[in-house]
Amino acid sequence: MGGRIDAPLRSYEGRVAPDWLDARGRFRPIFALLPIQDANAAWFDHLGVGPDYTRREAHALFALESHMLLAPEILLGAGEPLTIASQLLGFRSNRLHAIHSVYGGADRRPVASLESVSIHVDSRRRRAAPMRPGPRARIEAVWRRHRDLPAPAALGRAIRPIAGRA
Amino acid sequence: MTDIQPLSLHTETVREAWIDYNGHMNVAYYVLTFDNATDAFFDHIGLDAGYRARTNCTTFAVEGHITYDREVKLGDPLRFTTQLLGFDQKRIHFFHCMYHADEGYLASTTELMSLHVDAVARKTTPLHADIMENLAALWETHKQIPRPPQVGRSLSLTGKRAS
Repeated sequence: MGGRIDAPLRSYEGRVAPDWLDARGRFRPIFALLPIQDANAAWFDHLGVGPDYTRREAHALFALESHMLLAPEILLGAGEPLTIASQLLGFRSNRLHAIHSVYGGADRRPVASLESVSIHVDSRRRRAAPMRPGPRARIEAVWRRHRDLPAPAALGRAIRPIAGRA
Repeated sequence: MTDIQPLSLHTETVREAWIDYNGHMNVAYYVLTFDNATDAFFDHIGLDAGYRARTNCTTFAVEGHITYDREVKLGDPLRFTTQLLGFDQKRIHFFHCMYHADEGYLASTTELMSLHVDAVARKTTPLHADIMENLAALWETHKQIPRPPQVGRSLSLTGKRAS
């Protein structure tokens, strides 16, 4: 389970697809969730916790909670670059905290982020379980490269209520 | 204190294409089905296709928080409820629950903040008066519903789950 460790991981490099646009031909930010899915698959493979791990060792990471930020004011057209950086924010024996940050355009403007906490489970018993030694060692190695990265601006956000209501 | 309930406007059945290698509905389809529940809610308050065509205005989610509380499997019937948490001239703050419709358990929640936007300029613009009236009428009842424990959360490794 060796391999180069980038900090953060460049987990996705693509372009705005024609079917991710609004009626006026501009990127709809909710569609950032599609490349984020691809980025997350690359991220889990990078950490050694993807489908191969589940088949081999019958354990998996399940999402527990996520926070999403979208920036509809950033206007992008079809074919503009879309890149995703994935950063480890912390971990425990059966928890993982990470963020995918999506950038659009040649000047890499932030268009979306998805921060998540996942739980590591025994996929037969459907119960929380400590990570197996392989991914545990890999995640520790990734953490040594990621722990000193600057905290993303989106980190730890909560939705602020509208004043005077709720 | 009250028996006022959130809106119940939307249902789904878990489809085969939504199941991933873990044998349960993939997280992306939680987001998709909640987005469908949002469409049903916006239709309910008048922010429908006719409004968008008439006004050149639309809505965009800018922030969302999801809790994944229980797995759902192929064929499971899902029932969604929606609670208005607040609004002003340009923003609508609301909360969905996803339940297993037969077994009754809570499968997931989503808190959302949406902006009302001029679709041409992609800039926020005030909601039209009829929508503000609909929101105000709904708020008269929904403000009496207790605030769900999942609302206003941020993520941490050590935080206790809301449910």
